Amino acid sequence: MKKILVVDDEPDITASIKNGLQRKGFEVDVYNDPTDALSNFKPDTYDLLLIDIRMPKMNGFELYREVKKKSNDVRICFFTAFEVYYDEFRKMFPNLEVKCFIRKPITINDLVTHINSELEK
Amino acid sequence: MFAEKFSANQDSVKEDKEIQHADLEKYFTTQTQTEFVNMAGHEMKTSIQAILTYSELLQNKRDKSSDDYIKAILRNAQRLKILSDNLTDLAKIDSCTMKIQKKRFDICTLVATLIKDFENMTRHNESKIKIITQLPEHVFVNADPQKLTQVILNLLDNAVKFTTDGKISIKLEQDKNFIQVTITDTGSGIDNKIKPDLFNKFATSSYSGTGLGLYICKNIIEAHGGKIWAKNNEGQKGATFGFVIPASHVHPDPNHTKFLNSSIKV
Repeated sequence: MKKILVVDDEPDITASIKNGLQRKGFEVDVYNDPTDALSNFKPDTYDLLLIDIRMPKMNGFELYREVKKKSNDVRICFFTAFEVYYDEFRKMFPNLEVKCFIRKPITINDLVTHINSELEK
Repeated sequence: MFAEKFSANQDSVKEDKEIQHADLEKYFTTQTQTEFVNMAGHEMKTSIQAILTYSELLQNKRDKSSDDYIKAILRNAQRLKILSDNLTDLAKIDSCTMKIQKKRFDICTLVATLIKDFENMTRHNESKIKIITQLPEHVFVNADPQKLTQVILNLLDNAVKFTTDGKISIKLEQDKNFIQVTITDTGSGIDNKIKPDLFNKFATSSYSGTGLGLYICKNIIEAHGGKIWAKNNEGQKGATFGFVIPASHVHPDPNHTKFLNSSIKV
């Protein structure tokens, strides 16, 4: 069973996405506080990280950077409601090595399609 | 515009490939019109995401969690309603076309109904927040009930947003000429950085918010001939937001009511 970590500061998002992905056969851990996600992060646990970008205490990019220090080969998709990130940040941070930006809102079926395509890479 | 804002920092970012929190915060707190539209878009998409996913869950299977899903849909639909009301009012305030449609009604019944609706939407893990009301039986005002609903919902929404546990108290008092509504929470209080701009357009210290709510509340209350204010609670956690509006009779001076003596007037 593929295991996904979801980090988003909105409890309604994490609770609903967790339930939706579980029904599609994924194992899911969620955190609303990115600093908790980081301190509890264990390498080789997750097949994919699904991370919001704008969060208090630590934004998604910072979390990704810190997580990569613990596990360099971690796979990640940013899951964001901000249009600007997709185009602008990729231009500005070409070394970020992230190709997967999933835009909210998205149906569970489409989210699963994105996740599966990322897992197949 | 976005790229320009970062140009000063771009070289150092390229050098160490670090993404600084401060850089993103600079973007988030500099509110131009384009950025405001992005913030409002972000707010809408976040609520729509929750409504979409919970609706899908209900469509596919109903179980013991279904009631919680329906609450979540209502809660996020309410969040969209507040945002759409605020956006509509922003345009009206900016063009000086906001109309107050006054009628005589019992504000105690209105507050009690709003709180009941609000409690019905409370997230399961938010039940740590206790809502306490102190309302007289009936107090009649000559005001716009829809606009006052908007003010009270905005203030309640803020109180819940900044309070993880503890209580939120809603109190309604009256003197000879005025009625006062106060909402006191035990949350994180008002950030000192934002205090001077609290009721200004686009002021927000929250990660989910457009900074419209309090600006619109202030305009609505002042259009009623009243005043809105806010302060951090003395000697304890949290903040109190309040407003005074005239009682049913006409045109008293809002600077002369006992309610404003101890408050920070904004």
